[in-house]
Amino acid sequence: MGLECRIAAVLGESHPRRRLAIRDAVALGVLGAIMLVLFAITGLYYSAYSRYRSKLGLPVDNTPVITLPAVRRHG
Amino acid sequence: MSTPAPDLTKPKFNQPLSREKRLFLILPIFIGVITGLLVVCFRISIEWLRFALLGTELHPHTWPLLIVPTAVGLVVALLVEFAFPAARGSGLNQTKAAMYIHDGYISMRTMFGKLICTALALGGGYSQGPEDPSLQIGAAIASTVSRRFRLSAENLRLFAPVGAAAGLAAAFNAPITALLFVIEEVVGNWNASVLGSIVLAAISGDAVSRWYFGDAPLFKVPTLELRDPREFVAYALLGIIGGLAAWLFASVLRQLRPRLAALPHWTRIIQPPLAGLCIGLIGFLGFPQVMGVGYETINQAIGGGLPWKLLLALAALKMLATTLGFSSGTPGGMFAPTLFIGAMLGTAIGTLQAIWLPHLTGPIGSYALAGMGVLFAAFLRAPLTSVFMVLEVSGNYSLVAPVILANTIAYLIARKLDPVPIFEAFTRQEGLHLPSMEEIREEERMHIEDALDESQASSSVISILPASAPLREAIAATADSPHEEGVIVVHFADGNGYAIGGEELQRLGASSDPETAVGSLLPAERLPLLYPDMPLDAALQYFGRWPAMLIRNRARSTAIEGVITEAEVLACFRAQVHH
Repeated sequence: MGLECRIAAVLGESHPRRRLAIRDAVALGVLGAIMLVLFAITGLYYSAYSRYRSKLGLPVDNTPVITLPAVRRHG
Repeated sequence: MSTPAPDLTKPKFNQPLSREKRLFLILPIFIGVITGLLVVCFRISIEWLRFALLGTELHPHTWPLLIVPTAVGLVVALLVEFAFPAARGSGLNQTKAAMYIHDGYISMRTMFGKLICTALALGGGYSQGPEDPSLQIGAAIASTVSRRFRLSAENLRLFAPVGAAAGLAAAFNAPITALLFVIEEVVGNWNASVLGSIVLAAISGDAVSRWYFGDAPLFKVPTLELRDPREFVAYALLGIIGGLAAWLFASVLRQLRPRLAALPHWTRIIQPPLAGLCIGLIGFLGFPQVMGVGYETINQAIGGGLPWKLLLALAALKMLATTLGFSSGTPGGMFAPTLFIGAMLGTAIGTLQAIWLPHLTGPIGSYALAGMGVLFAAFLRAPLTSVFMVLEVSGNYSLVAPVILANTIAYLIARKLDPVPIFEAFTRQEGLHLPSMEEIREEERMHIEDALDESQASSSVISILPASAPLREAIAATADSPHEEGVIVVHFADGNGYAIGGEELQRLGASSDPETAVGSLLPAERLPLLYPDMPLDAALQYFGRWPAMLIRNRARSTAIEGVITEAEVLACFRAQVHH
């Protein structure tokens, strides 16, 4: 997670506090991007697992039995 | 002559104090969401592996029950030995060690190792749980994120429990339980400045988990009730049996774990597969319910209908299977087995009562839930969390009184039989000396009022003179002072004070008239504001400058509660140690 950014150095030249604030903003942006990517990966994984369950003949409303005994898909 | 321009490329400034405070409000949300997503993947992986390796249903006397745990054990052992050595253990102690020893540092490698190895082990039938590893996964995420923001070492340490709460909340679908557990067992301090951040992270992690899996409670609980007040006797009995069972479980773990760890290093490759073979054998011989996490069996027990002999056998065999798996070094948590054993014991007692005293017995599910709380309180030594855990995972508040009764009895019995909690024993076996959460929780903090009592009990009390008193009277008072430096305290009309020794007073008043008001001779500096309810150690820092402290009254600023000296404060601490 390379949060060091040249943009931060350029924009923050005028004052070290400003540079710090910009670096934080860039880091938070990167963190948000990672979060979105992770959401996408988890969603894909989840749907692949649901397909696997349906192939096994298990309920596809995600009523699993091992670590998720009582969970149901919301809605 | 022009002055050189300041070098802005290498700033010499302290970062604003508000920055880290702001980050403590923002980062927990990111940490909670990312942890929640990883824990969702973790839970799905466990199930997927379980279905892929052992099938949708476990049938006794089938060979996969023997082969799969053994083979998975070998793979996990190789992974732990050669790729992820820090993934060993449950995750709780590792998180505490990170917080107290390594400045909150947990590597991403450890996190991925824990995730992969635990998912494999639990999917392959090992009798442990996903909660403690989820806690460590969250702590690792928090560690990685907070390090990237270059926070101070103290705050890096504080972020570990923030992530831990998120992981536990996502795994348990119970944010309040996660919050309480982390405060009770990881931080050990209710005054922690991170409380707000822990709440934010726990809610964020739980929200992600619920977004994927829905918001139903962890266990399918029918209507619960306390049918008759005489049922309290059965709950008390459950507390006694639960306390003894927790002590037995902890004792066996405490004995076996160091013995296996003391074996030659190469045996670490064969210990997990052998443990897996034994666990598989238990399933093969007719008790496959003990394999895996076991929540489905807990739900069956809550629903009622399982015979009491089977329930007791399952409780005993789960203890054995978990002890073997955990002691062999296979990654996996202790929460789920604890809940499993408690639910089986509780249901067994409820079933027996229903046989003997059917008119006094409420729903069996009530006993199962109370049993879970009992083991949680007695084994994990988290009495407060255990009560809220039962309420939260069941979504039902009608059992508060019997649960509190049973949990308290179990906790006291387990503590009496073994004063050292199991996770603390594990850390000691590993040569670490982490703070005892029980001791921190129950630590009696000394306050200034304790030193005041000490001062008022002694016959030698330092004089307090009004600022208007004449200099000669003050000099006479210093001569009579019990303090070796002849200290007195001058009290001003606005409530402030000044402590002065005989020598200093002589010097200040050398050229003054003996009738001069002593207050007019003193410098403008005043004693720090101290009140009886403040921690006693807060007073210590001032004794370098002042020989005595004036203790004020919070309600009336001009009133005086007394005077304390360094000797009295130290005597107070000494008395506490000897007590």
